[in-house]
Amino acid sequence: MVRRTGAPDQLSRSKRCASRRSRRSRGAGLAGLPAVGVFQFMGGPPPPLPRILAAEMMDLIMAQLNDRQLADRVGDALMEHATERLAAARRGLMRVRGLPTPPFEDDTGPGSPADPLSEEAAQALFEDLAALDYVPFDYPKDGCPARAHEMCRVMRERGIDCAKAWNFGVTAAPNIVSPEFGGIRWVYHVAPIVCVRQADGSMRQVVLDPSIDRTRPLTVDEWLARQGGPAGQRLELTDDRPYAYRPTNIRDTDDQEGTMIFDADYAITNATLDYFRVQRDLVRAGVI
Amino acid sequence: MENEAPAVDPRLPVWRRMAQGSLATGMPVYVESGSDGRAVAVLPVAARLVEEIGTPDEHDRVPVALVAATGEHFLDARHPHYLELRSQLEGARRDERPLLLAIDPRTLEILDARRPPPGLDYVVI
Repeated sequence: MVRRTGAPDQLSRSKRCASRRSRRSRGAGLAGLPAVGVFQFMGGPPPPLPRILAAEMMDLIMAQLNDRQLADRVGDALMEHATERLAAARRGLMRVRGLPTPPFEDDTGPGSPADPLSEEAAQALFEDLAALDYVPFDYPKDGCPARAHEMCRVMRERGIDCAKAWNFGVTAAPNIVSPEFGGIRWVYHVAPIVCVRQADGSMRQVVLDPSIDRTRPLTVDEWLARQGGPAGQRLELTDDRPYAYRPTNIRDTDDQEGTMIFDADYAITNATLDYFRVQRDLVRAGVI
Repeated sequence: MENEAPAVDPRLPVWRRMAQGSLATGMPVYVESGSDGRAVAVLPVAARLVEEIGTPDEHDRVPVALVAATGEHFLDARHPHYLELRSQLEGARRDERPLLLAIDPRTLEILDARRPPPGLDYVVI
């Protein structure tokens, strides 16, 4: 059994730090391939090694070889290797076993516990997210990992720190009644969370989930209640990096170890949003 | 006399969009036709990984857990190709390889499952 403690082990921490660096690093890639794409999928979880941009690597190779043509050939070979690995990762869905990072662990920006949003700012943020018309919030039957991941991407782009709330069915499946689709049951459900400063000065986390409520953020308790919980269900909070997450021992709430899927380049997210937009539109058009 | 515009099947714009996307990506589409040869359903396919396959319930629904999926997918044990579909899913689960699945968007029933053709560039969702 693996218990989450206040101080994660050193290896996990170094992996997390490395992956955070990789998430926030952007740079020129090898022959146009984004640097994040080159290194993100070089094997298993994000590596606990200092990142090096492709352009920097090319400089190092050039310095060693002092032969532009040879350096270019090495660069081409590296790019081919990275492209193959990236394609293989996309075809295979990289599943990583481990402990998820707790929410807001290194976050100090707006939306984090260190700098909660005002209730008005959270409402405005929610309305902006709910208005993302390319995200099929109105097809709640499947695909919430992609919706949540895209909302988190938009928030990070705006400099807002966020995390994710996961609700797993243990003995009772999370379920909602959709006006368009009727009763819907989920294996699990996920949505982003941010921290909000309330009028009395206290702080709370709210869930931004337009698939469940199109009008406003929900408290975590409200969010669970809307899914028929919390009885028979299990809530977990993590940082926003896992695209998908499932605890291995679903009944042992002290054990957060599980299987995670990461989607740092949003390839899975984008393909999933595309797919479910079509599925939604087919239902509306009277598919069968 | 005023000419009446012919009724347009509301599915056509979605099907057209799907066909355009399919042409661009090379992804196949699922087409189901009636006994008169007319298409009754055209669905996109998506590459998915199978995590677990259950046993039929009292309604002949066989639950199928797909990796990362949140919806409850299933096979209908009364489907004319049930055994073939189940065999495809079991093989894919055993080998941890993706399958192209056609899924009813209303019920999440898996209607078709087949291996991606060689050379197809796709993203497993």
